[in-house]
Amino acid sequence: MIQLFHVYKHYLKGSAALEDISLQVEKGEFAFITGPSGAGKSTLLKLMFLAEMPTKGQIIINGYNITRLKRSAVPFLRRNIGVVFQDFKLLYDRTVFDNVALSLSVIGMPKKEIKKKVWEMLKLVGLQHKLNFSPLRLSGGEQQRVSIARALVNEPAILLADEPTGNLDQDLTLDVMKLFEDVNIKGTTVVVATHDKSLISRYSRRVITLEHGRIMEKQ
Amino acid sequence: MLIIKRISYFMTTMAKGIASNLYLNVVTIITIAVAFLILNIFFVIYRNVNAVLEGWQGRIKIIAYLQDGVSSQQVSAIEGQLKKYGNIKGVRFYSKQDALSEFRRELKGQAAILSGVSQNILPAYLVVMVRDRVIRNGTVGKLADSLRGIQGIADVQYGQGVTERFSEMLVMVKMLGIGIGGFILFAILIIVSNTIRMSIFSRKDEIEILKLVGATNMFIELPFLLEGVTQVLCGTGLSIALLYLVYRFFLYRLHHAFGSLIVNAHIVFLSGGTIGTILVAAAMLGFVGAFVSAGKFIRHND
Repeated sequence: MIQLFHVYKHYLKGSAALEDISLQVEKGEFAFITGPSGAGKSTLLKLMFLAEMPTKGQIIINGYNITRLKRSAVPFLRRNIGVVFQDFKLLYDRTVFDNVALSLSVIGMPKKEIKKKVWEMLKLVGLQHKLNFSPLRLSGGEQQRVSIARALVNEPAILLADEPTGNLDQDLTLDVMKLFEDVNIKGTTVVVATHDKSLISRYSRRVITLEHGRIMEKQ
Repeated sequence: MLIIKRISYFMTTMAKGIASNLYLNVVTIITIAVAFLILNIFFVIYRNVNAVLEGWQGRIKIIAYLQDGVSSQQVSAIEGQLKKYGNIKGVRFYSKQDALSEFRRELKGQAAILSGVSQNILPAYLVVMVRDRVIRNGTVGKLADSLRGIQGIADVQYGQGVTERFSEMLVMVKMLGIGIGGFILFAILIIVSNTIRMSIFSRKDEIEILKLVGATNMFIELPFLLEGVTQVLCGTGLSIALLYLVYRFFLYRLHHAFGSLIVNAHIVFLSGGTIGTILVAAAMLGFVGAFVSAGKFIRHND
């Protein structure tokens, strides 16, 4: 599902964000990536959702070697990857419905079907009654649930989350993690990057620890 | 096919984009309208000067007066020589007698004043019919000068001044139009490109999210391309409407000054074909301007 072979990521200024990363996340697995700030967690996720390319090494996502992938093919691979961020990345001039529908509009799904799917997804995250709200009227936890709904609405094979609970309190954090567990049970591969050790300790899942851009331990 | 299906999405997104930067878009459209107004004024002037010249086509001739005592063989030789010119489409000879008859005909009722005049007073001449292109490119004078050098021709006359001035004016309008037009088109390209760039910047969060959820560059760019085309089309349409108002006002004022005879018959507006061409060119300009910005700020940031 996700395979990295001796991956390096260096930025122009010469600083190494990732050094010799090799790992494999199996289909349907739930894994945490952890480490202190600046360890390379976000960079690793960015490589996984093709926001950046590795300086060296090979990355295979869903069977596609992304270093050999044509630029024009990138959007189509991204449709199989849902991404959730700490800052939600919602469009605040659109409704909750529009935000979630965005993922389906880009693949050319008919309006009627979009309506049905978005409603079902919002029901799953418990926000079906706030369909026409602006995200500005929602709490942080609700906004994160909208962003999760957007990431999951087209049923991607992989869900990547970068510090998804960083802005949420304890209860909301557990709500969000519950959603991730639910989609994982249904077969979606979930990779969550977080520096919150207490969160990781709650779940008996695989943990990949990064430090200074290198993998320190895999549990 | 998918693109056609999504046309309403693109149109709505484009409209939202314009609405979200309404002030900027209105200023851009007005700027484009003013720029195109200047350009369209040149088109109207060119069309009218051209119409005048077209009216002269087939009527412009050069009269080559022959020296006294030129024999008929010499006349034939001169005629043969003239027919070799690529810019001359016909030559007709008028003998001294013909010249006098013509003169009498032109004088009509006053021909009596020529009663004591001998037929030798007027020289024989050749009427040289020139091709239309000579009038268009303003080379009647040059052609006439070259005829002066032919042995047996004493003098050459044509509509000196008038045709040349109009031809020169046509060339000048054309050159000015190309120069100023090129500059204006380039300026419009920059304006559109800049407006679209700002539009892209103002929606960079949306673009980032669209890329994240798997939108293709074409999907992201199309509303911006439509926005560019719409801006220039609106500006051009406005300029044509403004020019038409100015044209009607100008006609109205001339009508009052000179009467309808002169005015209506001679001053024309842009033809339907020209308007169509301007609009198509404008749409292409808007597309290119937007495409440049989209390439720089959407495709380049992949």
